[in-house]
Amino acid sequence: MTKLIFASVALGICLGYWIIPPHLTNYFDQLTTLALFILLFGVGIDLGQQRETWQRLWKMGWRVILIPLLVAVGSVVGAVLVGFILGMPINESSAVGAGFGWYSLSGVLLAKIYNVELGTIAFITNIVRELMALLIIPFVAKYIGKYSAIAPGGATTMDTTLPVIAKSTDSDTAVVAFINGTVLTALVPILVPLLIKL
Amino acid sequence: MWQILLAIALGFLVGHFKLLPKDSKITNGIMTFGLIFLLLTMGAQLGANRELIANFSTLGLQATALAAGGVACSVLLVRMVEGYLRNRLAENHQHQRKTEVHGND
Repeated sequence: MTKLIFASVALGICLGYWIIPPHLTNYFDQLTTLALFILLFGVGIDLGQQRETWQRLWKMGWRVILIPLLVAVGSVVGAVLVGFILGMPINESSAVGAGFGWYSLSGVLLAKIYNVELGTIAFITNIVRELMALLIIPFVAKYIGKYSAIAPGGATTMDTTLPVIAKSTDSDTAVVAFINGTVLTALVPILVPLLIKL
Repeated sequence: MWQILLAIALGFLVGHFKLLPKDSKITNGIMTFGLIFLLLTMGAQLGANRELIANFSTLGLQATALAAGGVACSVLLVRMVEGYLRNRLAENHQHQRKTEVHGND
């Protein structure tokens, strides 16, 4: 899937640069809106099917929800602070931060509802976040703490970064990481459009 | 905004009440098609914008700084409650085990 995502963006860039006349891409508006709703509907189905995870979250008690909440707040506040230094408006930096590492969705969402420049920034930011997470999780687990090792991955702790977390910590933390990823995944399509409208 | 929430909520209900078979190839196919189409369009709009392409390295640096800020702040916040969570989740784990043992009696 990752290869398909990169190949699609690369092919799109080549088509836009060499083949498709610039004014033509604006005519895709209705089609992209439809594609976005189909994608979000699919995201909803995926989340609705995670019954076991929601039940596990209930059994582990409310305290386990603290981790995704703090990761969400930290990701948004961190991006806003850096955005402030870079001179970015608060709605743009916070929306990029709320991608929580889910580069494909946050990129296309912002490109569609805001502009292609911010969509591209969100796409790259969240790719970099995932790469950073894969590199630093073992060190964070060893020198800072096992629950802190869940934080860098954001929403990706339910899939791509989960094996690294499981290897660097223990099975209990891996369960918490999966729950963290599921909660953050549910928050991305809600928070990104909400924050960009600030 | 409300259309976005509606699309997710409708999908959630369909998934929760199992109105579609789990891991349905049709659902996966439609979702993948939607994502690929949006990524292609985003790429095409980016490729058509010469100014953005010229500033791509600046965008990359900006993006790396934003990612680093998000990661650093979230690790810091979770670190602040690390000890509290370790104790409380261990307590919860023990309580669950006791309940399971009594349940088996």
